[in-house]
Amino acid sequence: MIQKKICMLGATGVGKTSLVSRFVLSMFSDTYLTTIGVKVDKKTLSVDGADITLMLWDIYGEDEFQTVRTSYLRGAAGYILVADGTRQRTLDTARELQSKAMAVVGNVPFVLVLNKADLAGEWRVDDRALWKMAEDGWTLVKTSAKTGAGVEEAFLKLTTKVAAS
Amino acid sequence: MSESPRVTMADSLLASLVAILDIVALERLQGGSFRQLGTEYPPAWFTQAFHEADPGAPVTLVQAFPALDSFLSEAEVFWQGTAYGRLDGEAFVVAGPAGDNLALMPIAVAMQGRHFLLIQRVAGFDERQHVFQRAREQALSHEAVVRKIDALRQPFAKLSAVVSELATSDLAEAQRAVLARASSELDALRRTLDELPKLARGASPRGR
Repeated sequence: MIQKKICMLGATGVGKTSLVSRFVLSMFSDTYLTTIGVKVDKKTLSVDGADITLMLWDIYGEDEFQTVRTSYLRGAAGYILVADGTRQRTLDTARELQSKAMAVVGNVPFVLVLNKADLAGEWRVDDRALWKMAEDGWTLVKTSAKTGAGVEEAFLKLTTKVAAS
Repeated sequence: MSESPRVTMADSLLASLVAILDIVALERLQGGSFRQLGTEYPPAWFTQAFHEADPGAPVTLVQAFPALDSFLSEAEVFWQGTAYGRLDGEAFVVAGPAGDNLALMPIAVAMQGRHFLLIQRVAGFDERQHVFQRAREQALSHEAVVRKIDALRQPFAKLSAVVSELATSDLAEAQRAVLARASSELDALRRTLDELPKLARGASPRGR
């Protein structure tokens, strides 16, 4: 059995825990419960006939109260950067975390997830910035942990990239 | 995790003490394996983690507690370079015996040439979580309010432009008096808006 460590990174309140919960347990709660420290969940996916168990490290959000300890990233085969589509600032945090992650784990695969796609009316991320990131080779997926839209796709895309790397 | 000749009376006393305190005390042995100090049964949350990792099969400490993985790398460096001292790890959360979330914290200890790993329940975790929860909720609310304030600036600028345009047109004296009152109110509104918090760098409202 192949086992891969995947880190969930992003600003506070972007929905990292909700995405893991949706992906692993097919559950969603509207109640925001902040993450302290880290929680590790696992889920097995089948990619090209091979079973890959993802160890999902749900790490507390980066904000003015806490900075993510880079030691959590050690050994990661890939990571998911999560931003909240209704808060442009979280995209900047995702960019900063990507630089941090790259310094620790190098050029491992990652996917940028723009969560809260169900709040399309409140979407505030700068489309030009997203185009630029896509041009730079970033894989972007719009998700909604609430409805489940795009969630499997995001994890599957990352797993496929990890398996191929 | 077998007994070794190095188990002493002090180890036994320590083991009883840590059992009462709901702490797991392990000694790191040569070769990287761990043995539990003493013969006391470890806490239920500890044995449950091993059972859940792979029931009926041999399980390593990291398989049972994957979050220890990164800490143990730091601990190895600490143990190699420290004769006496402690290294505190970050809290991690596991499922408790009652299905609840249980917060644990690892501590690496170096003492008299021996290396220990303690895993303990995080004291005051619920309070800490409550404080962070409140702080983050307030920060998110503040951010939302600032976004709403910022959303007012664009229509305000358009309204100011309309009033300026009116001022250049042919108006009767009574209309000029109304326009002067409108301008005065707009100035007051501008001063208030200028005093309110502005969006931080990188934050852009919809439509900008």
